[in-house]
Amino acid sequence: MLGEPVAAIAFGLLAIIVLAAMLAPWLGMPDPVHGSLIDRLKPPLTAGHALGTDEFGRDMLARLVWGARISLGVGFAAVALAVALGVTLGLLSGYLAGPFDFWVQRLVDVLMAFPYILLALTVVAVLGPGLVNTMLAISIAGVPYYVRIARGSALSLRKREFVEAAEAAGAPTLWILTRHVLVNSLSPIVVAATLDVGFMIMAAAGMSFLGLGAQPPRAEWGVMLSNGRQYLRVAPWVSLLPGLMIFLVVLALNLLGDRLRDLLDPRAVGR
Amino acid sequence: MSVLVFLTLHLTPGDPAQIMLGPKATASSMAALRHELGLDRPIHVQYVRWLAGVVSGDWGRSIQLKAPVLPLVWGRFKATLLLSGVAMVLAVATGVMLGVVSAVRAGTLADRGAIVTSLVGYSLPPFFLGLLMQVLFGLRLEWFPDTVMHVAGGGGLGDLARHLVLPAVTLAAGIGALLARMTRATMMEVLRQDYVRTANAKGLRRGRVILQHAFRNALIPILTVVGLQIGYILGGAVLVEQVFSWPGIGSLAVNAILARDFPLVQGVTLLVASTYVLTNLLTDLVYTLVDPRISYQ
Repeated sequence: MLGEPVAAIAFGLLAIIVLAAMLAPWLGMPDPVHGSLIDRLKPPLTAGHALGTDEFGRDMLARLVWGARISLGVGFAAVALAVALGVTLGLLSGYLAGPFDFWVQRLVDVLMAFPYILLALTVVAVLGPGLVNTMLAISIAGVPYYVRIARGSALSLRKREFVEAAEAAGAPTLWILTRHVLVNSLSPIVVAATLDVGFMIMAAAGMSFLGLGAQPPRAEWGVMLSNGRQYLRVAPWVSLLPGLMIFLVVLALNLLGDRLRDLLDPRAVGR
Repeated sequence: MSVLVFLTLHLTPGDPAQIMLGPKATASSMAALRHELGLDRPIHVQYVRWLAGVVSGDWGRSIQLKAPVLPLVWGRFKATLLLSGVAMVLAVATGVMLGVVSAVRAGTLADRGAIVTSLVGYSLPPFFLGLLMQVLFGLRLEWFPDTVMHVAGGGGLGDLARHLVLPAVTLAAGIGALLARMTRATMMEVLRQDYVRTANAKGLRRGRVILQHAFRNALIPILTVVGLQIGYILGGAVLVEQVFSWPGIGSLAVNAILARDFPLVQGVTLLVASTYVLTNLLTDLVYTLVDPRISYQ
């Protein structure tokens, strides 16, 4: 919907954040976990603290950069896991059909009867709070979405000539699934996954905000945002800066996802 | 759905009684809790007993709050329903209007503005938008109360409405933005159809063509998105309630999870998921009212 230059800016912004997150240990920033109480709640643009400090005198910029490692890491890992599980189940379900398809679809129906956040909360209730469990929870809650997409593609591909030709030539099922069905289903999956990374980053931060994901003193954007709420009147930057980071990353990912959809699905151009 | 809710307790790694009572629990207190929850019976018997209890209004007792689950959950759910309902109305009204205007004026500055607004709205995490609203309209400008549902001692309807503004707008923003995108896409497709061109060629007024010919036919996909977003709004309410200390089901659910209070977790899950399924069913029924060609006979 918004053209090439906007997508380029979004890509540039995302690249800078990802690069900073990856290079965090070598950027020579202050310790993100330990601070000096003398420096507590210093506003942005203070000497030595470009983005100010939090309630424990920890440098906000360092915490935001280290927080990016966790928030982006959890988002990407959750999508990767959801895609791996969902696409495998979906392709098998659509290609094999029969009782396997029936039972997988009933499971998906059950999971889809739960609102996304509620399903993630239920999984956290089962596994217990924590960063890894939250990642698993938001990932599991996202699986049905990919099962549906992959199954739809597999259903439409299984009767195509090139798939039938491979079957007639005696190719093994796994080979047909990976070389023919998966390869030809990739476009919608890639677009969905790109748009989903932002959503999952937001979901993971939301779980931490609720106190169910990453725990203090860890530098994670959701935790930082939640802890800073107590200081909204005197030091709003402690909460607002991590929120702004989440917003910018999600916005950039949505813009890139939109652009990718326009490129991979020409029918959607102009929408 | 009921099976999955029931299994939340049984899928937990380890002994649920030990988890709920903590590491200092004695063997006798764990045995008593196991008996109270029916965990000492075969699983199919437990499920039938649990389901019979749910149907007859006995949803078990909260371990942490030591009170029956159903009144606890229902008492809080009313506040969540109010917040979600108002947010949904707001989201549909603004989202659909923005989408229609954007489609009708495609390519203009107004369209670009609507696209950017919806993209920003869609990308704003509800808990961050809530904080922005709190800081700006609650703390700085003091236009609206920034927390809870009533003034101390309870106020009238006007007081409730003032407390509702910030959380409802926060919750509505994401869904409104999504609806605006969806409405724009659907309307643009419908506006390209032959019957719209014919209506225009007949010389019908532009407003009538847009509302009666195009918008009515765009309603089904819009309704589908509205139905699906009911789940998002119920889930989003958990986060927004936490920001504004709204006394809904959100904080109850979070505290129940942190305390590993499984009967309460089950109660919350069951009520919210049932509401979601029911509202989706209602959406399906509304299809028949909007489009007489759809029939479920």
